[in-house]
Amino acid sequence: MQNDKLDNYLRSHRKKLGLTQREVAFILGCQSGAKVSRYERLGRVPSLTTIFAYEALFQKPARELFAGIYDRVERAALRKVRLLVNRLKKRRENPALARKIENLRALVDGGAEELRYEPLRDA
Amino acid sequence: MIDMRYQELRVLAVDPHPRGFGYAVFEGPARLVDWGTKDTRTEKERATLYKLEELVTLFRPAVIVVENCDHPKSRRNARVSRLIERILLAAHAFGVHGRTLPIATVYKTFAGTGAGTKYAIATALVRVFPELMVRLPRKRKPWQTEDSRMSIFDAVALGLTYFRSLRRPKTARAQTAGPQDTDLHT
Repeated sequence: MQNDKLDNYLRSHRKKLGLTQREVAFILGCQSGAKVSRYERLGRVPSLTTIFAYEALFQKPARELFAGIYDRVERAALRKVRLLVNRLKKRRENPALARKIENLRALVDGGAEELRYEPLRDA
Repeated sequence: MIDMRYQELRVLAVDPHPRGFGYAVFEGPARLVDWGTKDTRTEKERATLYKLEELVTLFRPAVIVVENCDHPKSRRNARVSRLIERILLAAHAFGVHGRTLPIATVYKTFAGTGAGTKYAIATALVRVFPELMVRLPRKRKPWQTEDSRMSIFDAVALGLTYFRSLRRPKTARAQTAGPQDTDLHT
C-alpha cells in the first residue's frame, strides 16, 4: 500500500515536542485545536503564514514537514520543465535560448544546486 | 517479499488490550512517526477495526504487525486473540501485509539490552525514542492492573522486532547504528 512519503509530518513533530493540538493552535494563532487536527489529518491545507509558523516552531524546512506534498509538486514541476525544454528546442537557436535550455536541463538532471549564475558580460 | 527500501518501510504495529489498543507507526527502524492508544469501550471489535482503518488511511503502511497468539508463550485471552485474527483479515482487505511475531521473539530482541520484563523493555525504548518518555507510566505494583499506555511500548517493541527480523542491507545497518541505539538496531 505504501508508495511514497506521508503528505505531512506535523503530527509526528508535534508529538516529539510533547505539545497538544490546543497548544499548537495557540502558537499558530488559531481559535482551537480542531484546525490543527485538520492540518494533521490532511483535511485542510495550511496557509503560507501558517506553514512559516510551523517551520519556526519545529525548526524544520517546509519541504520536510510537508514531504509528500513537496515530492508531488516537485515531480509535477520537473515534468513541466521537461515539456518546456522540448518546446524551446524547437525554436530558432540563439545564445540566450541555449543558456536557458542548459539551465533547465540542469534542473531536470537533479543538478539544481549547480546552476551557474554567471554575471552578464558588458556588451 | 516486500519490495521496499528498508529505511522508508512504513510499518504499523498494533497491540490490542482489554480496553482498546496501542499503536506505533515507523518509517524505517529509527523513525517513529506516530504512537498512541485508542480506547474502545462499546462494540470493541467493530470499534477497533474502524479505528484501525482510520490509521491505515492516514498512514498508508506497507505492513501491519501484531502479536502471534498461537505461540505457546502467548497469554492473550480468547477475545483479544480473535480480535488479532480479525485485524490480520482486515489488513488483507486493506491491501496491507499482515505479519505476526511471537512475544518470545520480542523478549529475545531486547535480551541484549538487559531488559527482561515489559517495564524494562519500555524503559529501554525510552532511551531509543526519548519522545516516548511522557507516555511511560509508573512501574506498577503487583496488585495494580496494567496501565493502558503500556500497549504503546508493546507496539513499539513489536515494530522494532519486526525490523530486526528483516534482512537488512549493509548500508542501512551502518546508518541506523547510533551510539545510543546500538543494542537495539544491530
